[in-house]
Parts: sequence; structure tokens; C-alpha cells
Amino acid sequence: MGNSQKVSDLSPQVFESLLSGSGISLQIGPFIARVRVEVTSLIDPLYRFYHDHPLLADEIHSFHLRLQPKRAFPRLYRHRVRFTVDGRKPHEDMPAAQALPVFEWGLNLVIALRSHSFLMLHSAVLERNGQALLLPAMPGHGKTTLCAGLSHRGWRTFSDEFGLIRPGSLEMIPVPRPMALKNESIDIIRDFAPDAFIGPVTRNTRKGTVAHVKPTAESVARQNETAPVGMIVFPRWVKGASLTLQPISKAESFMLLATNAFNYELLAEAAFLTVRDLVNGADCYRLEYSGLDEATARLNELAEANRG
Amino acid sequence: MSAKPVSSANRWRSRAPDEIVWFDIAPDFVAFHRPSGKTHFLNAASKLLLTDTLIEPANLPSILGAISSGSVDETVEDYQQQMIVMLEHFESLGLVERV
Amino acid sequence: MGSTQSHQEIVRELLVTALDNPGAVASMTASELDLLMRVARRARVLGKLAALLREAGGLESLPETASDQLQSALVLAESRARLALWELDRISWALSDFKDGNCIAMKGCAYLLLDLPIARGRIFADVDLMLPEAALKDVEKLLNERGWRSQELTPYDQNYYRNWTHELPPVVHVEREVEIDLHHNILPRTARLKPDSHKLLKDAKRLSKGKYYVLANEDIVLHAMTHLMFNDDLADKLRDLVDIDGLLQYFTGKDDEFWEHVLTRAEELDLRRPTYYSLRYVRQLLGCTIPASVIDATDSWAPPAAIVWLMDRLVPRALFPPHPDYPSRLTEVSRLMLYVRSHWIRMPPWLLIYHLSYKLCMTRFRKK
Repeated sequence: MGNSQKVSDLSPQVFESLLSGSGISLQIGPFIARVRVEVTSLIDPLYRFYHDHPLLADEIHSFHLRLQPKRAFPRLYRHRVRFTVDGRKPHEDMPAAQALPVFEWGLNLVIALRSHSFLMLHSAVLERNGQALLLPAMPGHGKTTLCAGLSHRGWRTFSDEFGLIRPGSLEMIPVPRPMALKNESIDIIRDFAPDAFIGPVTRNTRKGTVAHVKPTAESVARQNETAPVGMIVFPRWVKGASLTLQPISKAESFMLLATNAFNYELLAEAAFLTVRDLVNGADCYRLEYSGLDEATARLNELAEANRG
Repeated sequence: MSAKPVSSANRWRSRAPDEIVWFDIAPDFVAFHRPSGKTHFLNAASKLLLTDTLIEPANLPSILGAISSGSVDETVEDYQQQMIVMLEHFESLGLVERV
Repeated sequence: MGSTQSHQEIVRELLVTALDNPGAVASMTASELDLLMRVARRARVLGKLAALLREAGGLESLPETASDQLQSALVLAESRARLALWELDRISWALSDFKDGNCIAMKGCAYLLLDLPIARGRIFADVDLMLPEAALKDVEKLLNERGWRSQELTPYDQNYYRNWTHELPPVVHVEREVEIDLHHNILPRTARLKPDSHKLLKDAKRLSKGKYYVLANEDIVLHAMTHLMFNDDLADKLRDLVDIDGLLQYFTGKDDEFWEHVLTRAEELDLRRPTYYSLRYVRQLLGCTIPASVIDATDSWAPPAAIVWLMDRLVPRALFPPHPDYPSRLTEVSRLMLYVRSHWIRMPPWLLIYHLSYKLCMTRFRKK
């Protein structure tokens, strides 16, 4: 994948004609996505979000994605978009106003359904000083907010959603993509990182109001660099809580990590052994926080202490 | 759930103890059971049962004797009842069988 | 039409080449491999292809985006196989006191228990068991006592299953996700063909390990053929034709008189027509070698020439997936016609109209 061209090497006009024509091939971590988007409102956001991603030619794609405008019939004139993977639609057409989240969630869905050569932990992953930090959490526990925050305080983002690891290895694999902020966390990140690029805000999705943050240029430029896991922190945002960071037992960490993974049961023994080795090799904590400043500062301290 | 009542005449045996991979996280254990692909969280007594006591078929009184090793605080009946529940549970998980 | 034809042919050739000679995959171009991954996935043979490539030693050397997809398909197939085998183990435990009939593992489960080459990388969903009809209720009851639950159905569907099909509504264990289908025959009661289930049960053989039985070799093949050609709309069912090809290769290698057994049995069980079609298409589409004497013998089982002509046009379009970038209207029409046919041959006309109109109303209703 050498001497690669990037999306930013294309003019917006060329990007548009390629994307809405035969499509483009984007390298996103270990995946190569063929993407074809004929929904005009989406072209500019995608141009900005995937600005630093490599463009490839003549590849074997991990998936072929397409987003098309559709007019719902017989209900008059309500614009909808159709998301398809290799010509099949995994769900019903969605309102056109939600095109961006539909695309990003669609990409999440195909990754989750098709990537069983990896153990997929449900976790944000970042790197600092050559060590990966896992932030596994249930939806709503502030994992993406924390991930977006840390990525603007000296951490390299691997993913806000997928902790990818090949069974038998202990190296986390980056898959940098736009991060989906929900509801209040959109303004929190605007305040916290004024230089972050935050895309258009979509209201009334099934997850509330959503806006995406672009991954940092460095995260994308170094997306082929893996890192071993140094720390596993289970975060939880609690309104008004004062910050606590407590070590937790290996047993509890194992259980939380395994039950939270996308494909632990599918990979069976390989997943068991990988989670065992991850938990054995890392320091495990539970983090409860309400302020993002405090939480990122505390995790930075922890990473520095872990360095020596 | 079990259609078959347990009697003290039943003899029990650990099914394929070699097919369990253990992860020792003191004081407990995580056990991966290969044939089912299931992961179980077990205590030390359960591990002893599966990897030692029930390697050869044993009936309820001898299981109780082996596991308690003479230091039982609870009343005998309570303890026996707990063991029956555990054996039935392990039976439905396919970890032990009646011989 | 001319160009549509060639897209279809590219897809067919890629799939047949890869399945027949996995070594050829290594020398495919990136765009050929890209298309192969897509159509093999759609035809549900990606796991099979992965297993073949692994055996030939060519899986690791493929570009990562291809080997990852193949590896992923293998993980899925192996996981389903493990779940199915474990479910069989648990069923066998639940039925340990059941003595009123032999429990026959069918299709994917039989292939696994027999450790057939076609089981490798083959993805399948349900555990299929066949028992004497009189025993089904008892078996269902025993399973219910040990933690399985019969699927909740509308009264219409309950009635449909119990009176008109050849199986009970699916049974699922409360803590697991595998569906168990309990059958008493290989075709629905209403079907035009009426294979005698007593003959199937009588010739089933016990496996050396465990309590399960499997059908006689020729019955396994006839079942696969009947299932594909007479119980199905054939859309994207290339996998099932590939199974038949693999079963024929395997059993003819084991038993010199296998073909004679198949022919005799097809007559005995009233399964001439599906046998005729299967042999025709396994030969035409996958290049399976079939002795001339067998072809001659089965020629008399053919339907009128006009029907054969039509089926020759419809079946390949249904079995092979369409080119994902060039969907074809003709393929859709072919599939629709075969869908109608599949119902036609499974039900008498009065029942078909009743069933389809009910289904249509329900679909409309649910969409609201």
C-alpha cells in the first residue's frame, strides 16, 4: 500500500465525481472499503472526514458500500436514503436527513458482521508512548467522549468503537474513523477541543442528536502502526461525580471484556486465550468521572507513570 | 428443569475434564469448555469437583466427603442440597454426567 | 441482453473455477478476487472456499483483505458447527430415556457427524432431526422438560406446521440460540411427491459413536436433491448444488454400487424427478462426472421437453448469484417463477391460494 494518494490530494470536484460515479477505495485500518455515495448532501462531510485517508486503486475490497437517494413510494416526496452492502440492504431505507449517521452506522455494522478474523472488543482504543489504552464500555458510558477528548490531549486514536486484535497477538490494530458524539457530548467536545473538526449535527436519530468528530491527521497517517495493550480502563460517566480511578480484579476485567466483545463466543477458545493474555498483561482500572478535563489529565498521569 | 430426580445412588463423573482450559484468577477460575464453546466462572470447589473428585465416578456421599474434607459448618442436609443443585446445574451445562 | 449474459457468465466461471480448482485462486487478478469474494459470500460458499484454500495451503498467501474475509467465513462456519454438535450432545442427554424410535440427524448435522469433506467450511443454521411421526410429540415434550421451548406461533402458523408440513414448529433452548427442526419426512404432507418415510427410517444406520442415526448413503443424496429441487425456490442456492456434487463424489468413491443404489431408491421413494434435475444441473453447471448409463436411465424421468427447456433457462439464473454491480431483470423474473413453482409443487392449488393470500395479507398488515 505504498506511495499512496490521499483523499486530500483530490479536489472537491474530482472527489465528488469519483464518489458519486464508480466509487472510491478507501483504506480504513485493516479494511479497504469501496464507497459509492450518490447522496449529494453527504459528499462534502465525507470529503472532510476522510481527508487524510489513503485512496487505493485495483484492490480486493473488504466491503462494497453504497448510499443512494430514494423517494419513498407511495408516500409523497419524503426523501430517504438506501444503504446497501454488496447490493443488499441490511435495513430499511432511512430518512435522508440522517444520511451521515446511516453511512457511519452502516460501516460499523458491516465491520461487526464480517471481521471475525479479528477479536472485536467493544472498546475505544488510543495509544501514547507506544502503549495502547483500552476503554471498553457499554453505549452511554461516555467512551466516545473520552476517546475524542484524549485524542486532543496527545493520544493517537485507534477507534472509538472497535478494539481490533488478531487472536494470538496482543497488538491492537488501528481503524481510525469519524467518532459519533451524542447529545450533550457534542458541545462538551466543542469546548474542550476548539480545533477539532466536528461535522453537521443530525437530530432525531434513534440515538438522539449526533455529530461526528474527525480523527486527527496523525491517527490516520499512522494507521498501520499497531501497539501492545498497557492499560485497560472501564470508564463510566456519572453526572456530578467526583473522579475515581480504582484498580479492579482480573476476574472482573475478564468478565467485562469478554461479555462486551462483538464476537467472543464466535471465536471461542481463541478469544478466551486472547482475553486471558490481555487481562494478564495489562493494568486494569475502573474510572468514574463527570469532567472531561479531570479525566483526561488523570489518564495522562497514569500513562506517564506506566511509562517507567 | 431436570426431569430426573437425583438420588444418592446416582454416580457422577466429570465429562472430558481435558476439554476445559483453566484461567486461574485467585480465588476463582475462568473455565473455557471446548465442546460447547462456553466460558464459565467457577469457584475452587467446582474446579476440584471437575478435575479431581469426579475423574472416577462417585456417588453423593463420597462427593460430599471429598469436597468438605471434614470441615463442614452448615447442616449436612443444607450442604447436600446445595451439592445436588450444583451437580444438576453442571449436568445441564454438560460438564458432568450420571453414570 | 448480450452484455448481461456476459456478466452472468463471468460470475459463473469465477465461482466454478474457484470451487473446482482452488489453486487457481492464487493467480487471479485483484478485480477477479474482489468479485469472487462478493459472489461467493452471496452464494454462501465463502466458508467452503476458505476451507478448500486452507487445505490446499493457499489461504495465507492471498492479499490480507481477501484472506481476512475467508478466515472470517471459516470462523463463522466453525462456530455454527460447534453450536450444532453441542446442541446434538444436549439433545442426546435430554432424550436419554427415549426409546420409541431412532433419532436421525439430517443434512448439515449428518455431514458433520459423518465428518464428510463437504462439512468443512459449510455454513448452516438449524439442527434437523427426523423421527417416526408418532414419536415427535414425546420428543418435543422431553425437550420442553429440559429447558427447550417450542416457538410461539400464531394459530395460523401452528396449524400450518402441524397439519400440512413435515415438521413441528422449531424448538429452541432458552439459554442457547440454535433452532431444532423435528421432522417426520423429507417433504411436506401436501407435496406432489410422497416419499415413504418408513423406508427412510428403516434403512437409517447407527453411528459408531453416540445415539444418533443417519440416513442410508443414497438417501442422504436423494434428500439433498429433493430439498434443493422440490422444496425450494433455488435463489442463491448454489451451495446446495455444490453439496450434491460433493456428496456424489464422496459416496461414489466409497461404494462401487452407489449409482445403482441411488437409481433403485429414487424409484422406490418416488423421487425420480428431483433426481433427474439434480443430476442434470450438477453435470451442466458444475461439470460433475456422471456415468452415461446413469444419464440414460434417468432421461426417462424427465418432464416434457418444453419444461426442461424452461428450467434450463431459469435454474442457472437462480442458483448463481447475479453480478452485484449489474443486477438483471431476467434473473429476478427467473427467481420469481421458481418461487411460484416451489409452492406449486408443495401444495395442491386450493391450499396454495389460501396460503399465499394469507401470507400476502399478513405482509401488508405488518408493514403498516
